Amino acid sequence: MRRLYSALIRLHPRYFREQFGPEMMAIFEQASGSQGRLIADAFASLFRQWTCRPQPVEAPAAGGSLFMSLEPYRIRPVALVYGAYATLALFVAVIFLIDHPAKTARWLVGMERAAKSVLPISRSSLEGQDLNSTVQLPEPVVDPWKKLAVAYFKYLPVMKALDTDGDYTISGRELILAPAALRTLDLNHDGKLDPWECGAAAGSPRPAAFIRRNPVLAVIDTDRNGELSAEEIANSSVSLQALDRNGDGRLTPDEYLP
Amino acid sequence: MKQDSVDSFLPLSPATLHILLALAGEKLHGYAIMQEIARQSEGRYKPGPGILYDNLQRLTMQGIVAAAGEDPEDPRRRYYRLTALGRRVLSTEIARLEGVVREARQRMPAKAQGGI
Repeated sequence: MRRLYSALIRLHPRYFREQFGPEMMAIFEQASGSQGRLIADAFASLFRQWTCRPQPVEAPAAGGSLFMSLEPYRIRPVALVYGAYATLALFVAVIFLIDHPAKTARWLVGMERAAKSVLPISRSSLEGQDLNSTVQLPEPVVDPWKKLAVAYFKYLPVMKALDTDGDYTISGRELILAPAALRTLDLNHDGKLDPWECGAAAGSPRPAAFIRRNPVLAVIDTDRNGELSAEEIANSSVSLQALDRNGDGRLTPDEYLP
Repeated sequence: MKQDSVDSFLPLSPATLHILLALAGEKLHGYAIMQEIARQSEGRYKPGPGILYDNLQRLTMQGIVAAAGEDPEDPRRRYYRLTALGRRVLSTEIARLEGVVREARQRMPAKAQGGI
């Protein structure tokens, strides 16, 4: 037991061991009846001194050191763990800012627009040469269906709720998530969607006709009562597949537009 | 000595309070401090050497406790004593605890006070 206790004392940090080690050994020899408790105490002390207590910086070797610490103590291991957490948080924040340039354009100058080159250009080598050149740009492809879909999405908030990735196509994954997406529109929390919650104008004289006019709503409203019940919302993933005429598992503008 | 510098040490932890109380009477070495604490707390609190010397090291650095020579019989033992700052810290803490007890006596009914 004495050897074990002595070994535990030797494992303590040098400044603590040199200052209190002999005293701790004297106490161990004197308190012969509770050696088990003292060994447990030494283990706890060992952990405490290495992890939670600052350790003084040892004097530099002859010739001086390359680095000098402003603090008289070494960095605690626990402080290193905190530093690792802080570094990780900063890293995640920077990655987030880079990954969302649209939201952070005000802060990240130059992320969206190319900056003027700061490289020096030797103009003397270009003198006397014909620098005129013609660049032909391809004609921009305009998808008429997409233009209609953009307007339709503004008109019908249900479409915006269903199309979570904003590509104007209701993918297979978005079809599966359709019930949850529709429930987000239930503003009065009655479990069903009335025509106004689906996007009908406030003063609409025939709100039920609004449901029938829009194919997406019409296929979900299987009982044709002019509103989407909780059961119809729950079955919307299956109901919407009736619009998938080409069977590719997703709804494109030519399939969901009225 | 400014009162602000004393207040910055308060409130004391139970281990620190017991160590300062043990050293309030006379200078003691580590084992005697442990025995005195056990006597004061009627055996309910028995800090080990690890806790004792961890606190003594901190209190020494803060100037509350100072080393007071070696034991002539066993040079491994070192005596510790309260400094003037340590006495002031201890008396301020005792005054604070008296205030706590006084407040407790006023707020708690006589039956619930028990042994207070």
